Amino acid sequence: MLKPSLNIEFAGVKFENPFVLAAAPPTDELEMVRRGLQAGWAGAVLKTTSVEPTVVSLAYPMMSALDLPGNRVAALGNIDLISANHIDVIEKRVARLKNEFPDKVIIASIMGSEKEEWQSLVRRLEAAGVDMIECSFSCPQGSMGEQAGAMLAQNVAATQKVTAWVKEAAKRVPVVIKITPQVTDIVAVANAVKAGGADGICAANSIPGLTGVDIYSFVPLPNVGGFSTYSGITGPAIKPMTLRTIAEIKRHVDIPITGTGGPVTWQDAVEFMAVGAGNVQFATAVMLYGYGIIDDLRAGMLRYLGEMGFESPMDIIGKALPRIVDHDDLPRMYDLRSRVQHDLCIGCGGCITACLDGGHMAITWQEGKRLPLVSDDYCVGCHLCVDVCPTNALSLAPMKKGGK
Amino acid sequence: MSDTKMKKWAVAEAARCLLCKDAPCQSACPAGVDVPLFIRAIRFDDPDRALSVIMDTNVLAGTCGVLCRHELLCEGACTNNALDDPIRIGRLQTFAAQAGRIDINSGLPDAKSGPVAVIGSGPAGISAAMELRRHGVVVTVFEAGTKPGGVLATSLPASRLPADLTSREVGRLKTMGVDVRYNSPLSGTNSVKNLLKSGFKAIFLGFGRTKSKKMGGVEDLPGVVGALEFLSKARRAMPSMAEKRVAVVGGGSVAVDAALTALEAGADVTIVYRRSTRLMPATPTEKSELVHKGVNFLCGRLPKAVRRHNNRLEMDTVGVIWEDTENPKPRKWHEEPGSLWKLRVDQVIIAVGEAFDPALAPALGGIERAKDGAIIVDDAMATSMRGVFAGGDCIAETQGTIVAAVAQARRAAHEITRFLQGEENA
Repeated sequence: MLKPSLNIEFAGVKFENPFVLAAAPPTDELEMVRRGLQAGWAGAVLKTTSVEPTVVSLAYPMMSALDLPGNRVAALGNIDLISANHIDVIEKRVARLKNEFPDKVIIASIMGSEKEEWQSLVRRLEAAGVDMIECSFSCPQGSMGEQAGAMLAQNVAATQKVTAWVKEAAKRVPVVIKITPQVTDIVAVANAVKAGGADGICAANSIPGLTGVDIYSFVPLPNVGGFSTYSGITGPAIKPMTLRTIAEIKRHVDIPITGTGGPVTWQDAVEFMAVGAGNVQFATAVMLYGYGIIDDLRAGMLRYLGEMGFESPMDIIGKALPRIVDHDDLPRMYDLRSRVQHDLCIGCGGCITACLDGGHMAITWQEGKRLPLVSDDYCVGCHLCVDVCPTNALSLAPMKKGGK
Repeated sequence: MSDTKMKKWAVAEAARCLLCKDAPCQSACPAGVDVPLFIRAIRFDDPDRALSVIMDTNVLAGTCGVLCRHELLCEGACTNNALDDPIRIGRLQTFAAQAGRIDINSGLPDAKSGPVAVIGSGPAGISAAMELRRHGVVVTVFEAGTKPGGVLATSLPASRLPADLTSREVGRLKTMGVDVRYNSPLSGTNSVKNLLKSGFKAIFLGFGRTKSKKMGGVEDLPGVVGALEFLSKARRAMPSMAEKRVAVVGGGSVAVDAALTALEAGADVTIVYRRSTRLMPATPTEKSELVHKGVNFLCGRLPKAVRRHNNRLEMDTVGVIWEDTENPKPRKWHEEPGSLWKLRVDQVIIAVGEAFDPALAPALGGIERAKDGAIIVDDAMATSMRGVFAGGDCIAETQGTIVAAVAQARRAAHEITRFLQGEENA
């Protein structure tokens, strides 16, 4: 068997590994993009640019965080806008980067309002030598497209229309549309993107949110001169939503997906690809830990591929999808009951608390011991105790239906 | 702790680390291990990479993880000291060494230059041999004993070293294809001069200090033993010392090892130290362990004489009056008048320092040495003899730690490689 390699192909473009820098502050300065690419990222999506007259009026502070005990910045919030660097700067930057890094993938993210804006951006970037174009239909602060106050990607018809405009102008490079998860029917949006002719979907942009509220001043975060607005939430806490978004699209629409929204480790990247992503974009993790995490990502992924007998990360794509079914179709063959492994249990009793107040009152202390005792009569196998246990001492074991 | 629990602890502890820029822990490490980088790898669930990062600068990753005095080095410098508790860097390093797997031969260049002779297979010798091999040098290690490891194999208490960890680390020498010759001390046939004459282009001396310093005025009586000799014997076969009273003279790590070993063997142990416990070189943790395990302390006293008394030994101790109580290097002291106190014991263990073995002097030829016999080196670990380098405990003013030996050996390997290139170009 061949030794595994990290090389992949996505939307017809070759990447040296599946790890790409997403459109965000780490890709807004030429010097920073350089350092990121030198560190080993396969490519970068330059922070979203626009035509010269576009007003980009930034407000500070921009960043806020959801801190949980033992978990700082579980989620990051930002009220950033698209790049203050307009297309005149970016087209030169693209040319320079392609010259300095011929083997890296340079992706430009664009946002326009009128048809002519979108198409002009595409033409100029193609002329500059860009490898791929990503279209931001989903900037959380933007109100572009047909309906004021909404994101373009929240309007199915407009999504298809604007996708078609962009594709019409793109003679050479693949076009990827970045959508928002904040919609009623992500599949409808994905279908609109495909119908518009796009070569791929970026799933997904950040989730609108408020990271918190100052309980003394009552100003939500971020506090901008005593006022606030909804942030785009990213970071590890949104991974579950991202996985669902990618999976749901891939289950119903045959289109390449570049996944983004919360990945930190190479395991996260594997999970993203397992639910259908063809590669993975990182922003928040880079903002927290630096470009250097690419070393851990590459080393971990390569070792994983070897262990799994995969030749390429592309072997991972979609592997989890056959396992996702509707609720009615889930197997119900066994009754499950919680079981304690005594040598792992450290006697904290967390499972008892959780089951008593959040489960089925099925766990108590064994007589005179700090060891949980599960009642098979009350336990239904919900798994909350397993999730709560700090030492993996609890697990579910099947019982034949109706009997012991 | 089970592997699963250890891993959970390690990932959580790694998540507590602030991953400092220009990290103080890295600066405090004599081997310059990139601590934040290996901790980050553990945090991102990659112990293999963590081990690889550590081994970039410290080939005895696990041994140092267990034995190094982290509280005085990396953990002492840890930024987290300002927040709560320092990150348990030593324990994380041990975790990486135990859970991580590396292929030591991956990327290893062919061994073409040299050959270089390495004297000793203790921490300094092993490190020098492995680092030289990494530089593509042909290495032969000359070990006086029958197995590799030096102090790791002889005088360090087995209880402090997880056996498989150290043997795995020491075993990498063989995996790398380094030739190790046992029962081959530095002597007649293997003198420095003869080794150079027989074709070795350079030599690294790493034979350490294997003799215990004697105490002036203390008789060589049966029952009086040097700490290193006591520990080596205990390593081979743990004695039974139940109901024996033991005096350990000294206050450094070796004295601690001897005291704990004797305790474990069932003895009643008293440490006799010339200054206060506060000034003992042992670490705070070691001192706590001694107290906790029941060692008695007789401080501010020195033995003056030892003689037989009935079936036991009688040790005269006298009070010490220091001219300068704070200075670590003993200045003048005089005996406190009328302070004689006799300690009756079954065994006296002398742990006042390790000495250069004078029997090695002839084999060293004219290499410049300090008054105590130890080898003088410059910043490049070079001795006064061309092509001969040294590191570890055998050098003058040694730091006496394993990590310092590793760092010096690595430096020496780098300098030897440059030296070999210079010779080739000449």
